[in-house]
Amino acid sequence: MDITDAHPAADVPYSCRAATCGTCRVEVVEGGDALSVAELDEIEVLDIFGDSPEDVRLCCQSKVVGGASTRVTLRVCDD
Amino acid sequence: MKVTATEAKTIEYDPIYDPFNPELIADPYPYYARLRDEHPLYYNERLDCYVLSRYDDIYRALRKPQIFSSAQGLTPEKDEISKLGIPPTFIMMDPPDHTRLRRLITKAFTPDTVKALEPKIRAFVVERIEAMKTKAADGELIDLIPEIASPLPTMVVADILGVPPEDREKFDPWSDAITSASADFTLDVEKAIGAVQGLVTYFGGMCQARRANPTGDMITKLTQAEVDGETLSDWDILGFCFVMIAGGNDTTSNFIGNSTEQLDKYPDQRREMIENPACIPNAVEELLRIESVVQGLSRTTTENVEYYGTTIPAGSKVHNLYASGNRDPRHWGDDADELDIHREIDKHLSFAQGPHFCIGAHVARLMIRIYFEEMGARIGERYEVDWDNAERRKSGFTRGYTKLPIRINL
Repeated sequence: MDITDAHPAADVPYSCRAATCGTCRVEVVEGGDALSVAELDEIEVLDIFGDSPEDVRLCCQSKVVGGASTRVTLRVCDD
Repeated sequence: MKVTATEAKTIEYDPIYDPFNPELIADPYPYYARLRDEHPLYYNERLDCYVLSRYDDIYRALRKPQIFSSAQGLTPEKDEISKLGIPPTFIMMDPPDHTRLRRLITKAFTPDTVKALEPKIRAFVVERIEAMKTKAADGELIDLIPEIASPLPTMVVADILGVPPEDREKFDPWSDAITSASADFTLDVEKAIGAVQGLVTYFGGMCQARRANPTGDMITKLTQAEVDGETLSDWDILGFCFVMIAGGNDTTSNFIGNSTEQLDKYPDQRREMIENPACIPNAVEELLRIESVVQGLSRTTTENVEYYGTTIPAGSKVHNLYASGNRDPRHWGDDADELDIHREIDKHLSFAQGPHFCIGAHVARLMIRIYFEEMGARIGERYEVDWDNAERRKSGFTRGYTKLPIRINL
């Protein structure tokens, strides 16, 4: 389950749901270590926007893998 | 620019690939197969444009906007932006400018806003289908395009933009003219300019009205938005309206026509969609794959690029044939030309790929899913297409029907 599906209340804009358009880019404010490792498709898309997966992730690809007590804070990119 | 009909007839179409060749428009797929097999990088001298036709090549090009730029327009025509006199649109920009402007309208495409559209779309589809059945009961032949395929996306785009119902009929001639301009610059550019002017006048007035009396619609939000500390001008906002209308209006309409044809060829799969609506979402992806409404769009190279031992010089137009990539057996297997609603589909090219991926793709998918669900439940298999009187859209860049009569057997 990706973050777009798991947290619809966050109302993150989205389009492709397939690591291609970058519409659902979010800044990692805290807890980035608890997110699944970015794969090549996601890294390529982030690179188009000049972002690195340490700072920015795609909601459609990221999964929280750090356990129920992990706090992850993300913010929709506003550029 | 205007070329007379007499002059137009003297055009010698490129026999390998020419989007204006009437034979290719009638059935492009044998041409695409030959391109993929024999000319995976093709240069059309008449249009001064390179053509990519294999899935992998197109996929990679679309994901490299730094090298394959959209800033010079999206057709093989070199001066399309200045010729059409269109407002600046984010689909004809590259990141980061594209990213900043696209972001302004993504709020219209969040899960909540899309979910809120569903009941409106379903009510509209049901109403149109029931109206079709009433006409059929009176013995009328139903033309699927004006009865439902065209009004459905018009309603949705108008709703998102905030256009009142009484003005929605204005949309179709505009989007028709704009997309047919892309289809044939030599003949239709003046008609398209007229359409663009109509659009500019209407939405220019709407911008002024929303600035004076804000509502919650997209145009109000755009009048209030800021980019780099500055608000958008009416002309900037018109660019968004242009994208929504040209990109969102008759693409879905064409898809419905194309799907009707495909499902007529594969009645068992149509029956399965009716009997088991759970298979509709994957069927939609397969129908999108097998007949891409947007047959292809162009980019312009920002540096020299090599394909198959040939260098494409910087500054060249490269036309990416999405519809060909969608049927490339190298990616999809030997049955790529066949419809299979159970096919495992990763990424087809019908919505493009990369940062220009169709922003309204999920709205389009929602409309189409509801269309199939309600058509299946309310009409099912009880109709036949009058193919003798169907008319295909005459365009090498978009594929669909302008007329598709059906007889509903109640």
